[in-house]
Amino acid sequence: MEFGLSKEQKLLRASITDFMKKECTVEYMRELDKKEEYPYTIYDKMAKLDYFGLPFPEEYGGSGLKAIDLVIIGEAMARFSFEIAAGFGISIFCGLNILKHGTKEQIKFYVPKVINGDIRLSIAITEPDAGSDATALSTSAVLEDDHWIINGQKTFQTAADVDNTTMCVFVRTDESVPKSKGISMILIPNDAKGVKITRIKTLSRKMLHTCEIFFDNVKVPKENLLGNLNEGMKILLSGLELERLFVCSTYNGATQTALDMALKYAKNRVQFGRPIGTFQAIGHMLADMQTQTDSATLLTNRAAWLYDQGIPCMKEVSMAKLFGSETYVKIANQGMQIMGGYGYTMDFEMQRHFRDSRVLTVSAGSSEMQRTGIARAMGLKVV
Amino acid sequence: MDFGLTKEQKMLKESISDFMKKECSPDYIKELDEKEEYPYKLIKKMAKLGWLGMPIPEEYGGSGMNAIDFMVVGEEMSRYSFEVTGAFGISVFCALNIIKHGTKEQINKFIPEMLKADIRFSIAITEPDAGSDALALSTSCVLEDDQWVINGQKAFQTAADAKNNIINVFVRTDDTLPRHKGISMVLVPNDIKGVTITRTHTLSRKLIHTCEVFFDNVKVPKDNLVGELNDGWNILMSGLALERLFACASYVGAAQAALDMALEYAKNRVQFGRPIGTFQAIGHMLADMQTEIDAARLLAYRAAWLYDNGKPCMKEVSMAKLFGSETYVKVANQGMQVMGGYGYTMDFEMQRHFRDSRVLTVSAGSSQMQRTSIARAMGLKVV
Repeated sequence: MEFGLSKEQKLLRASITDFMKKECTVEYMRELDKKEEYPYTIYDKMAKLDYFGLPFPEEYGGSGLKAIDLVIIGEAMARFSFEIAAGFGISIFCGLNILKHGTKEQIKFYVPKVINGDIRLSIAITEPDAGSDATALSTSAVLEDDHWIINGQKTFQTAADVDNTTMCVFVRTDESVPKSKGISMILIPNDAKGVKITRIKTLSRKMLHTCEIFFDNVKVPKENLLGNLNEGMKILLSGLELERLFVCSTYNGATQTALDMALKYAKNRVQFGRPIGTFQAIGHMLADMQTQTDSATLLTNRAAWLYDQGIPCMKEVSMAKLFGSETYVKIANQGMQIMGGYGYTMDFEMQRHFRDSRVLTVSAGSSEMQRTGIARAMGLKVV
Repeated sequence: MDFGLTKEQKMLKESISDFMKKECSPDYIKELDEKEEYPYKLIKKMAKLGWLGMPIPEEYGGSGMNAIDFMVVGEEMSRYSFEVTGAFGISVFCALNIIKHGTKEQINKFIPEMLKADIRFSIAITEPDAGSDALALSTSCVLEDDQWVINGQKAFQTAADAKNNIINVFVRTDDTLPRHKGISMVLVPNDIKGVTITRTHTLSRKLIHTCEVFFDNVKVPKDNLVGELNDGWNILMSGLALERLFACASYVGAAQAALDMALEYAKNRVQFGRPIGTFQAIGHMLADMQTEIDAARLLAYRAAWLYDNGKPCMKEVSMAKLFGSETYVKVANQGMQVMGGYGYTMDFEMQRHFRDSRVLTVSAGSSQMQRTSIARAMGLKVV
């Protein structure tokens, strides 16, 4: 066993940290949060530094980083902003799916543009009646001549309304086969005719936006189908582990930041003549918080290591997702408790952690779905 | 990072497992538990295989195992019996302290015998008025001519009454110095004149016994002092990390065994026409249990890795102790819930896990003391 970072990994972490410290200041975050603006500037800068190419193979212009490196990046980035780290990941993981399942032409068209930031990718699965039960999706795609005609509605779509975004839309292409077998994935630019996007205002995700998408006879060329017809679920699942791993690492980074903030406050805030952190009630709470945060990080890194070894790891990824998201929610809540009235004000970042974290036990597979996945991996046919 | 076991570690684990499967059957443990008997036979067999020397340096007849390897041993052993693992560990850690701080004569006299299990060691710190506040110990030890004369009382002494046991007694040798500077460690055979040992009957520890030890003008030779006079606290602290690590590994192994039992039951127990593990209420509970055990295991091995690399690790050891013991208690309790009325009967092992686990958030440093020390390591002067 080996729990340390290699020299290269330490350098990688340091360079991400340096970049974020400079470019992702608290003031910048607050401004975007308040204006509800997508962080174009910082992503443009990341693109210039080739950050978006980090996990892509070198032959496609990337750096060929492994899962374990990616979780180091995600954690380091999310220490400064969960939203920016999450938004960073979306394009990348959709891009990796194109690389894995696309035609030569699709790869040639999309991958370089994703890496240099000219286009972004978002993913569209969820519908009003298909949440955790994703295979219930019903947005239809029918081939007419050389075009797909898409009709239907997607909901809770992160970053769908951003400039130059192509959506990776999961659609129903065959109703006559079992529901998981009639799904395909089609690439649809978000400014195509017949696409209407409206915002859903939520507690957080102010920069990335959460959207509803309506497809009204949207027409895209036949070539926009990714992979084989009716193999959409396979595509979705093939990239899921790595995407989740990255997501877990962003939870862990953000959690540590929230904890550090509460810890610093507890050291400086004097009540009853001494720092509140010296009272057992607060000190012990912080000790538990750090223990749980360390556990979450270890679960994530363990799963990433398994992934890199080619060992099946869906159970371990689910554990990391479950424990990591629950921990962030808990720490943000306890952090707010420690910071008292100040934590509740918009002048401190704790309220942002409280808002950012709350949806994470729901999104990207709810805690309940993770538990079901883990239980099934343990041999229990939970229904 | 590397979260896997080496080939050698896998073989080690297997050899422990093979031995325990054969020699430490549920029936054997049940019999000892009912008769309240120390596992003499089993420990003797272990000694014959050289196991008592595992972490002891080769020059003293051991195998010089590092912490991670020894954790692998502890975890695997404890899957079969937490108490046997405890009995095994106590002697080993006392022996390591004697090797580290004793004279050549003491080492030559005691270690070879201990390796053969001809003698064993127990440790005596706690007193009626010195529990978590161990420095309050007051058992006195005065040098008269060439002998130490000991008077006082120790409480909650594990395995003090086993045959051929030498108690490593922490005593007050100087009342005038600050509390932690007036403590020494003296070796006291448990069968000499003036030593009275009575059992404290407890919920578990039926094999290794919990005892009160009374010292009434007990005389031992001057040479029975280990290390420097008044340096007892340093001796105690010097071995603490490794001992705690081993304890953590044993929590994890026992918790996994309890979980496996509940899981097996949940797969086979049919109610309402289907195995109860397929109901979400049970399946999700088991998923959480495994996630927490994995986290406890990762915390324990992370700390052991730090230890083996000579890095400061007391905070990480405390986290592993805190999370590991709390997890075993939780898992045994939930395991009993899963197994329903059967878990409550003496015919199943779950009640033993329930009993074995309950004291572990109290012994070897309570959860509250662990939180205090984690918080202090985080820079909070918790009082």
